[in-house]
Amino acid sequence: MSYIENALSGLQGGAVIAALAIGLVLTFRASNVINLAHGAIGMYSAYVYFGLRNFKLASTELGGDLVLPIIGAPSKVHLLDRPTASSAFLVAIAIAIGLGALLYGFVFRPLRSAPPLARVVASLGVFLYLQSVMNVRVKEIGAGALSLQLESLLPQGVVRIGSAKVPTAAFALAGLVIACAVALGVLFRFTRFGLATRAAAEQERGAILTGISPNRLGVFNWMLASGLAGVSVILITGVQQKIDPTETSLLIVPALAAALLGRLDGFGLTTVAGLAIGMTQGAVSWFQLRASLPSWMPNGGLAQAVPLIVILAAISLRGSSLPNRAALLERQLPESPVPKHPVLWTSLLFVGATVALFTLDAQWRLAIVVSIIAGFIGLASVVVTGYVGQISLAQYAFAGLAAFGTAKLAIQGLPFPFAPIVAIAITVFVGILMGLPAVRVRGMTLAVATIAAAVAIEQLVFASSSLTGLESPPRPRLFGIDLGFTATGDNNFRAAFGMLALVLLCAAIIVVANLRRSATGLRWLAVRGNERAAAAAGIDVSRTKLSAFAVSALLAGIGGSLLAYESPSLSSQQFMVVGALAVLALCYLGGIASISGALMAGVLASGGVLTQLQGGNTGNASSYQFAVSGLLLVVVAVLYPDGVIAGLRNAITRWSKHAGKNTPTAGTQSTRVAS
Amino acid sequence: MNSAAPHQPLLLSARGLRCGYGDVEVVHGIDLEVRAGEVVALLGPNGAGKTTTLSTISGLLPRLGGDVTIFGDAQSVGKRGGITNAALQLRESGLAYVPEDRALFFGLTGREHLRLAARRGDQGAIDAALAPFPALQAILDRKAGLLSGGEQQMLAVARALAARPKLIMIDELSLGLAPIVVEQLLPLMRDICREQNVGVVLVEQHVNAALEAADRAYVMVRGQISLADSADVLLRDAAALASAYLG
Repeated sequence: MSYIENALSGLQGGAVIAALAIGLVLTFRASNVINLAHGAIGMYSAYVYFGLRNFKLASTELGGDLVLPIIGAPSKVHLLDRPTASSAFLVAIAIAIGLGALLYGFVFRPLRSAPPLARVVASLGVFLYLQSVMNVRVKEIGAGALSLQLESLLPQGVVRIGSAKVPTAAFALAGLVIACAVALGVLFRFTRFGLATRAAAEQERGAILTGISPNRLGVFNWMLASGLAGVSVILITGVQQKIDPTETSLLIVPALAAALLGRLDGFGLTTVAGLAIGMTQGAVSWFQLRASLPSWMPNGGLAQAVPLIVILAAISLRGSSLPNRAALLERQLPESPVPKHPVLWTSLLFVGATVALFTLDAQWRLAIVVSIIAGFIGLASVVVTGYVGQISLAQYAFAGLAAFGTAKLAIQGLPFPFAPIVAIAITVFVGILMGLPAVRVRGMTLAVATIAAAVAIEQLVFASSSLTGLESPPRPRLFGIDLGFTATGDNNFRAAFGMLALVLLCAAIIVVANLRRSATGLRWLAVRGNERAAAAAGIDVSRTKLSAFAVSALLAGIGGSLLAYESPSLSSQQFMVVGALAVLALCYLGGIASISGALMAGVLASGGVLTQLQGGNTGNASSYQFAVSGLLLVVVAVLYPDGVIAGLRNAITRWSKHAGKNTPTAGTQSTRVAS
Repeated sequence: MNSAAPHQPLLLSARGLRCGYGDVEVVHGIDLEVRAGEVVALLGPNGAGKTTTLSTISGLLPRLGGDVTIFGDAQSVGKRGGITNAALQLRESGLAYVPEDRALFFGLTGREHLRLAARRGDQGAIDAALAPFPALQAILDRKAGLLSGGEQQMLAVARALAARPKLIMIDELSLGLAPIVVEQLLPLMRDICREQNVGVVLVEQHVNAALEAADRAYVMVRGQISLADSADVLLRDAAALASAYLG
């Protein structure tokens, strides 16, 4: 009966997943934002609580210090003398609620009519910011799990059910979440507030014309959701005795899955799904301990991955291959200009990068190669998201598959061009599989589904014991030329490898540019614009989407294979879903619908050319680097919801039009230049 | 019958109103007036700027220029961020707008629409709003998305009435409706206008039906008012109307 014990204990985790998922539903309904930072808000609030309650901080015996998540501000300020559990709890929840209100007011309200991707990018920025600032704080003030006293606010002890012993806290937490869900259900069904939120979620203009203020509703729902996140994460941290800025923030992934199962709408199904995910994780982990699984199976991964895969299958099967009649068209992605003179621009890029590779020093060569690889991932995002409008966050998972595949095959003796080719072929196959959900789900649902799929691959494949710490493959050689990356001394990071990567990138750019100009590109953009209209025009929508996923996986796969030869050793850390989110965000800022956006993402990528310009990969980078980039993502997304390049293009168009009013002849010329 | 009675209070007055989207000006300085108890038709071919004018007056679009006075209050030129508040305040002070697409909540029932629109606990307003539409009574618990086009239009008008407005602006009341329904709805608006002494602005494509219900009419062409006169005069003088339409 032991698996029942495990499953019931899994209610603890399930309750938090359910509580976070309820919060996601609240914020989504009120502002159409899938708040990736939702778990991070709870995480910060838990640090506030345990920071206040901590008696072991170096500076004071009494605790009462408030951890500040602000760059440049002191790590903490003294807030309370001798805080009790309840006063600390109240402060922590008040701060979570305030954070929710701030985020809505300054980030998500201005973005309410922006493209959905801009909102994803902004919430990702908040996630990266909170998570990395708190990582810095944990190091600074030793507030890590080891030195924090994590007290539980819930009853201790166990309940016996037959022979199974289940912690009381599991039932307490689950009961609390169910009570919350019921209360919210009543609130939304029977009160004017609930009615108004439902109305405003459906039709903002209609709401205003009915006298409902969407802003007030939005703030209130965000405050409710953030408060709930704070409460649930504080409680679970006490029970499970562990907290970590990154891991706790990533509770968002199963919560997203649960919210999706509830169609981001009702509380009942969402809560059940959350609890069920927790119980499944508990039961799977028991099964994993008992059953003799093959040795390559990663330890913890199965428990994380199984519920995600089940949910993916469920939402994919439930969707339909064309949006139904009442489906609202989401606002379009930025304009996708037809690439002009791709051969000319690519030649310029080729010559410039070649000169740089042969004249600059080793660190620069490394930075250029890093940028080229990130450029491949960027191109993959541009094709699938920018051209076809399918928000996919699995690019890094593709790259990872190709990287591990290449390394594994090459180490087992497959010679150079064949190991990566086979690995990339496998990746393309997986890419097409990954595209299958996209045939039936769309928009934000697809984004979440791809996050879930990426995490499942990460947990099942990359965390596998037979792959972790895999060494880099043997040096690539072609026609007797050594194309390896490493060398001794100043010759390290050889230009020959850089040239290989550069030639591949230039070829990829020209292929993508020509695809965009071809009939395939037209079909892609038609599907992006309106699936129903595309189908009516005789386009096979499913096949069009799958073709884009295949091309995207091919590009990401080439990048991944290059990465296998570039890195000294491969680890699952390199392919975490957060990385894919970051590249997509950079691409978005660069201009997700154009090739230049992908190249911009490459330049901006961490460790790439921009990092080198700022002082290099070695040491100088501030510990706040990630926090700053998170903050920048938020700011840029709010200022330029269509991306920086589109913002610049608009500014130029406006300027040239303005100039055109004054001098007609100059006007016609400058318009031609701008268009 | 020219009932633009000067003794009635002026509800809406626009002078040199310019509106549009972003930098693109669509309406180039028009003058409009609506008094309590009169039905004013705003006519014109497609693309004349009628919908843009109504959206701007109701505060949903920022104004590009000109002066607008509603219920005696001069309206400030909306800033981009202040649009929502401007629209909410106008509605609060008694302006109701039924947009072309009706802007109903498809997931909510008719009863829920009216409950949201009326002031808290003002059942009288809901009953009064339903009175002109006996057909709505039977289907109040059906979701708006399941109603027919005519029923949706009636619900949209009832929702506007439930807030006890002083001025109602209706964009294309007849859009997508059977001619027989239009023939019922337009005179109904006229009755409501007379009984409750509210002002009504109708944007219409059905010129004759609109003129029969209206007291006065403006004809808009390419962002400018090309003709303004009493409805009776326009009904009689089809030639002047036709030439106004052709600009």
